[in-house]
Amino acid sequence: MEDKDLLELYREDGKQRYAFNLIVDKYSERLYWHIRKMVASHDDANDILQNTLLKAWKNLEGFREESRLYTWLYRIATNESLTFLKRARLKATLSLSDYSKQLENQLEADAYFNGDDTQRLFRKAVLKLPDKQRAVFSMRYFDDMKYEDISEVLGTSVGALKASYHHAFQKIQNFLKEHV
Amino acid sequence: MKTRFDIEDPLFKNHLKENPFTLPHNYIEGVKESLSGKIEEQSKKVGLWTILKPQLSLVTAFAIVFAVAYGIFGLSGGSLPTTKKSSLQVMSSGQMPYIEEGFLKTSFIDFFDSSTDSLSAKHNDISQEELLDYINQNVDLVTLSYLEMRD
Repeated sequence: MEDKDLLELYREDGKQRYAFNLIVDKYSERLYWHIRKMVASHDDANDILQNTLLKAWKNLEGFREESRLYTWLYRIATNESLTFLKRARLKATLSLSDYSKQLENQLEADAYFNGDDTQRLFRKAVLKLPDKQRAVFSMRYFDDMKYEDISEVLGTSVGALKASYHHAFQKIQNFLKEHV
Repeated sequence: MKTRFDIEDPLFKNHLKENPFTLPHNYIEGVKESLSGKIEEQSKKVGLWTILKPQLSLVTAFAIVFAVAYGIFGLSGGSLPTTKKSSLQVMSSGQMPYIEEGFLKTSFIDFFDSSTDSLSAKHNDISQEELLDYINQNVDLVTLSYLEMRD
């Protein structure tokens, strides 16, 4: 079902829960993988996904379709992930540890990882990027999103996003050259 | 060598883009169930808040009005005494008795105004002869001689 139809259904009397369940069916997995690329751990990704969907439920009534439904959902998920990472980094700093190292360790020990060494190394390089730059790189590289859509999600200009992606790309290339 | 590390190279990119992670069995179904529970819980919380919200806002409004009024009276009570107290002291020591006296006098005049007094009006109607008759009949000789002596 198209997003427009889902929203129309949501606005019918007594159909809110049903329509929202359809939205969850359509987008929850996609949002999960977006979040997972940001935070590395399944448990953290699960918590953030639940918060994202709850926020979407609370605010869907006020959604005026000024942006598309999927970019709106991505925006909530990205903001939730960035907030989570900010808190986690602060906590790690207070306990004198390196959160980027923790993310790498999580990847190394991930029971749900079934890729080869190149894929592991590549994912490690992505996790080394600054959080917002990682969000830009993930949406562009893995999800093939247009810069205009990413701009809607992050509220950043297309030019700044292109520059950010270029920097991320260079960092990853350099990391791979050093480690392979 | 360069092509091997070019992450934008189509072949390499396809391999890197492959999702190397798996999900726990029935994870997405679990998310939906857990989410439904949380939404249910939230709607109950929202119900309670909806009931309490108007009452709390009313109480808050009263509290603000009371605080503002209390603040205004408190401030004016604290700033006025230096000037007003002194004038009150002057009045209470010197002027107040006169004012009170004047007030009482005025009150007396208001209450016993001869023009409106029916007894005084009657008194004006009594003639000289009637008065002498009354004295002759009711006042004894001793009293009359005493009155003559006084004059």
